Amino acid sequence: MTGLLTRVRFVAGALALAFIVAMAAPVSAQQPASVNPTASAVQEQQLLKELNKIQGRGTIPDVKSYVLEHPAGQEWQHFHTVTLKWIGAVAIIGTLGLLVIFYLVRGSVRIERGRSGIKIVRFTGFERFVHWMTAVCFVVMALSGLNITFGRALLLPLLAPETFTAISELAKYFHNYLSFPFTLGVVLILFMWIAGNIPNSVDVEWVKRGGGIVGHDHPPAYRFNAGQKAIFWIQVLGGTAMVMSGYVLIFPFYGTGVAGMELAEMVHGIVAMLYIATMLGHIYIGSLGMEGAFEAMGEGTVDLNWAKEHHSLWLEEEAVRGSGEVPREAMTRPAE
Amino acid sequence: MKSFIVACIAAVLLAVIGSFALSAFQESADKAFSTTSVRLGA
Amino acid sequence: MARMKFLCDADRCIECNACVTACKNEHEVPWGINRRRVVTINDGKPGERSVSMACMHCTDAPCAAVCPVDAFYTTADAVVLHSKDICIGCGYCFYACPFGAPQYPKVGNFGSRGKMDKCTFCAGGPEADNSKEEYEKYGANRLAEGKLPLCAEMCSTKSLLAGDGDIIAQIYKARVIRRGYGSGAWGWQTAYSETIAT
Repeated sequence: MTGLLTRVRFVAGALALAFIVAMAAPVSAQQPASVNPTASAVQEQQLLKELNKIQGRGTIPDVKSYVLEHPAGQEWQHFHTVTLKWIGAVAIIGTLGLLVIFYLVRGSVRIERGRSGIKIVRFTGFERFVHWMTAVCFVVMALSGLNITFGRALLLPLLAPETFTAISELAKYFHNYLSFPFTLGVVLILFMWIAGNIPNSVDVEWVKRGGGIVGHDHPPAYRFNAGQKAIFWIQVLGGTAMVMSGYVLIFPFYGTGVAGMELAEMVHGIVAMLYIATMLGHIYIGSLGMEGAFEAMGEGTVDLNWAKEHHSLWLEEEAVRGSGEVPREAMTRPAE
Repeated sequence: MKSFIVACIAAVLLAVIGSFALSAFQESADKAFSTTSVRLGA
Repeated sequence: MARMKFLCDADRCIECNACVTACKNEHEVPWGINRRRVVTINDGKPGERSVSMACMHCTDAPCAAVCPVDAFYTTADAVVLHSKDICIGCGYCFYACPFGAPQYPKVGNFGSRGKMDKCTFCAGGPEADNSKEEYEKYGANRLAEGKLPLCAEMCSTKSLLAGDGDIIAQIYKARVIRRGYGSGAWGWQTAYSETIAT
């Protein structure tokens, strides 16, 4: 009996050992020779090539911080410090230069028949109020805005750093808060004057005949000539672009990420430079460039002969309206 | 001239009103620092 | 002269946020603001990596280039610092920074930002070293005491290295050779226009 048990135990033990060895062999065969933990790891340059941005997850509420890297910021920086400066310099200094040359060559557009002494109303008090509110805001915002782009290069070398900072900080607040009356002005100008600023065939003729500014012709025009209509549309469209991009900028990250903010700044900067250049032309013609023009917006009335020479069709309309402003006898013959 | 003066006053007034109105919308500092973006709220 | 840099070994970072906490405590950073943060890429997926990020103190720093009031300056150790007295809070440095380092702790009128705040490499600001004014504005100045940034000192796995660029590059390279893998020096190509071959 003992002999059988011993043999059974021996066989069972050998089988168990064989079993364990058999189990061990496949297990050791499953283990790889070495481990490469980075086989599936993310690679920085690969991620940048795909999206030009590396974004992940963080544990703080500031979602912006989850963007680890966005090299586009450096490109935007180059745009702001180099490209935008060139656009601004060429547009603004170029326009100023052209205006100076133009004034020296053409001179001021005079009232050829001389003043008649009779004045008629051109712009109401409300219209003038809206125009000046918008204009004042525009000038202050243009200067404070240009300070952001050019101040460091042009103004800082002339001042102590603390003084320049104080000026720039004040300029920033003026710029941001004057945006509210400026926005109101843009909207009011749109509604006030859109009716008179729809382009028509008279404008085509006016442009063809040099607009009275190239040469000494007096092409007829209604209340607003083609040049003024161009300014109107630039003001409305440019102003809207400035207002929209501007509000994106003063409410940062309200619905947009850093790329959106960079785009808003680029739109705001480029439109600003072109808008300022255009308005320099408008300011020129409304002051130096044309005798009898400034009083239209300054006092609201213009000389009858000025109106005959530059806005004859408007004059006829006013006379027909019988507002009493235009004496009928003055309308014997339209200007040539 | 008068319209110009009134326009300047109106511009300054609107700017000041705007600044006060938006300050009133400002969130308290503890709420502000725990949220992203511009931190405006009721 | 030493050229100071940060290097975060993404293969060692365990997202413990000790660096974030150390920095916040050392410099009394306001509630909710983080000069340093940990970002986890591919969270929960194979190949997940965490990187601790603050200011990289770039060569040719874009923040310094874009600042409208020239509020930045670079020290002899190549640490990029700024002056809160000169800063006007325009926010452009945040747009220009590839790493999102600038923060704006002061809450101003509607979206308006206060003075910019960012990682100083524990090197303070323009005020006198280790003065009360410097501490109030910029936090501790460890570099002036001959110490390295606290975030790297507190890192639990020594994944975040801070110090002379050549030395930490050497340390990282030796690590990579010894263990046989490394996902590279994150941010170095963008910040310093150089990489460490791994």
